[in-house]
Amino acid sequence: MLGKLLKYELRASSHTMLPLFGLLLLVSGLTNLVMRAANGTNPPVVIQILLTLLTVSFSVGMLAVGLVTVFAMVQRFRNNLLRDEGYIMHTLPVSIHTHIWAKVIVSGLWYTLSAAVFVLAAFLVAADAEFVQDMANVFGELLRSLSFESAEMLAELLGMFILMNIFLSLLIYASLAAGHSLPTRKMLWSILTFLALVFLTSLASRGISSLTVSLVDGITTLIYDGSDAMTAWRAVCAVGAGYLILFSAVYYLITVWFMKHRLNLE
Amino acid sequence: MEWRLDGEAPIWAQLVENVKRGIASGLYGPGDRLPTVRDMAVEAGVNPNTVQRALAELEREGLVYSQRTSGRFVTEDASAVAAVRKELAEAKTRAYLEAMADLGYSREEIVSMVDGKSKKEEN
Amino acid sequence: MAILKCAALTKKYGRAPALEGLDMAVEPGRIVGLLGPNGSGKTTLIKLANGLLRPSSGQILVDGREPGVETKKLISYLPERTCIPGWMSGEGLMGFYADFYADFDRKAASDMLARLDIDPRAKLRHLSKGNREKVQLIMVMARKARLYLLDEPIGGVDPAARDYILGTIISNYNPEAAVVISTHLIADVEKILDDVIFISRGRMLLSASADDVREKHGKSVDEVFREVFKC
Repeated sequence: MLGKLLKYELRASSHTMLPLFGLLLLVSGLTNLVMRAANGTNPPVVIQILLTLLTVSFSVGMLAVGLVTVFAMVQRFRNNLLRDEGYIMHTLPVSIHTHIWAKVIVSGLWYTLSAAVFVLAAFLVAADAEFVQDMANVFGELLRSLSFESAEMLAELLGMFILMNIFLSLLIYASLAAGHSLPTRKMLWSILTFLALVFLTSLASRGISSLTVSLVDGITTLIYDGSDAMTAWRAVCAVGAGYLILFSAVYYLITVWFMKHRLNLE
Repeated sequence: MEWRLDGEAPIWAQLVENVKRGIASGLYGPGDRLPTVRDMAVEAGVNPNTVQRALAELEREGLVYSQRTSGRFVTEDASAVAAVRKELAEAKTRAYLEAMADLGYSREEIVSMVDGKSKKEEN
Repeated sequence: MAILKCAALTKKYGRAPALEGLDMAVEPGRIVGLLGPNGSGKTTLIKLANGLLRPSSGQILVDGREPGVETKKLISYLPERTCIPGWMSGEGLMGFYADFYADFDRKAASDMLARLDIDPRAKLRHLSKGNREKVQLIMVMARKARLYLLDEPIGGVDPAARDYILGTIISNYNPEAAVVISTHLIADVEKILDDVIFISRGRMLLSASADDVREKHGKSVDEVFREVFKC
């Protein structure tokens, strides 16, 4: 059933996400072209105006793409599971767990893609023949110097990125599920729950780290010692991953509990 | 056929009346196959179980018989059909006479009125 | 065995009870009217059966089981409001139902759409409100479910649509399945009901066969309902 849910989840969200990404890439490509057109002495006024407009849209687009993605994922979860469509979704022969995982996986995919589109758009704005050549050289150099350890670091970074995606999604879902269990002002309560969860999470992580202070001390010594940077890096990753998994699990349980026991579809 | 159903009497009994009317009027001739339960239910806008019950009653009265595979048929017994026709006609006549009596008409006035009306229609 | 059974079923929202100590059973092959004024607890009961709400106390069983993934396979549910996603087409929606419900009869569904002249490729949000309601009903009735729960299927529709809806319910009748229709518009549905359940303020007032009610009172169910719920 997870596969089927993923299929519909992807279809539904691509309706909003793909045009958004397409638009940003289009604007950055156009900016690039117009910038080159304006690159002479005394370019026409039309080109100047166009360039200003495009530069502004490009900057706004770059700033907004992450936020808009998060916003779209909030809307998707809320409309599909906590409002009218919820009547259909929650009466499918599918468990709450499967519903939540389908949303986490697809949101994670869109977050990753929006990061990729961000980088791609930045390249597109700057791209010319020389730039492409430079990038190719840099990547070639990187690949050649890729050691076993740097590959491991990349894999660990990727793992942390995935865990952070899950953490962010579940934090949002827990807030929405709790806020929407109330009869009125569901969105306001969701935002308040979100703030409360963020506050409690930072309190708790400070509480836990004071318990594990010796561990943190150990890590700091290792880092500053510089004797074994790789071990230090691994320890930082492990502790970070531990926190992310712990808090994600708590958010997950909150989401499941509210959707099972306090579902309120109006 | 046109189904006449009102609120008061049990619907199965009204369905029995309606089918009898169909048999008496010749809409369902002797030996004709009746519509299926589902079709009759959809046509009359009633519950299929209620149609089932009405047909069972008609079978009990000997007006309808069922063949296991091919459905339900109107009886071929002409005297049974005639009896139903007579039963319905008598009931209508009784109701008419009662209504006229309520309006204060005497037997003679009623007869002359029926006579006059049928003569007018002949012309 | 009853396909739907409630024992001392109670549901409270905060302190206010929406259902209080409800005992009832629905047998396969019956079309049951769940009748009561607005706010009497009809929707709450249907949501409990669907697992959209949890009982405060007491029990509700579908085919002998508490609501969950297994019972959702058996129930075909028409919610009070239209909630099919607008970005899908009729074709896409049929694919969706076929993907999630093994008992969905795709051919029956597309026949019913064709009879209404609804283009299966049109996006659902481009259909009229009335047609969207009908599409949703078609998806619900095209399943070969064991229990159909129809919440106010004829509330706020015109007489032609009402006849279409009732006709669709009758022509999809299956002796192994039970149909529960919740409504406050008794006159419109009473001819298709086997049994009636009157509920008021979360309590059951009457549960009987529709013809028995007519026979006993010499009145239509609608008239009996009006007397029972006289303001």
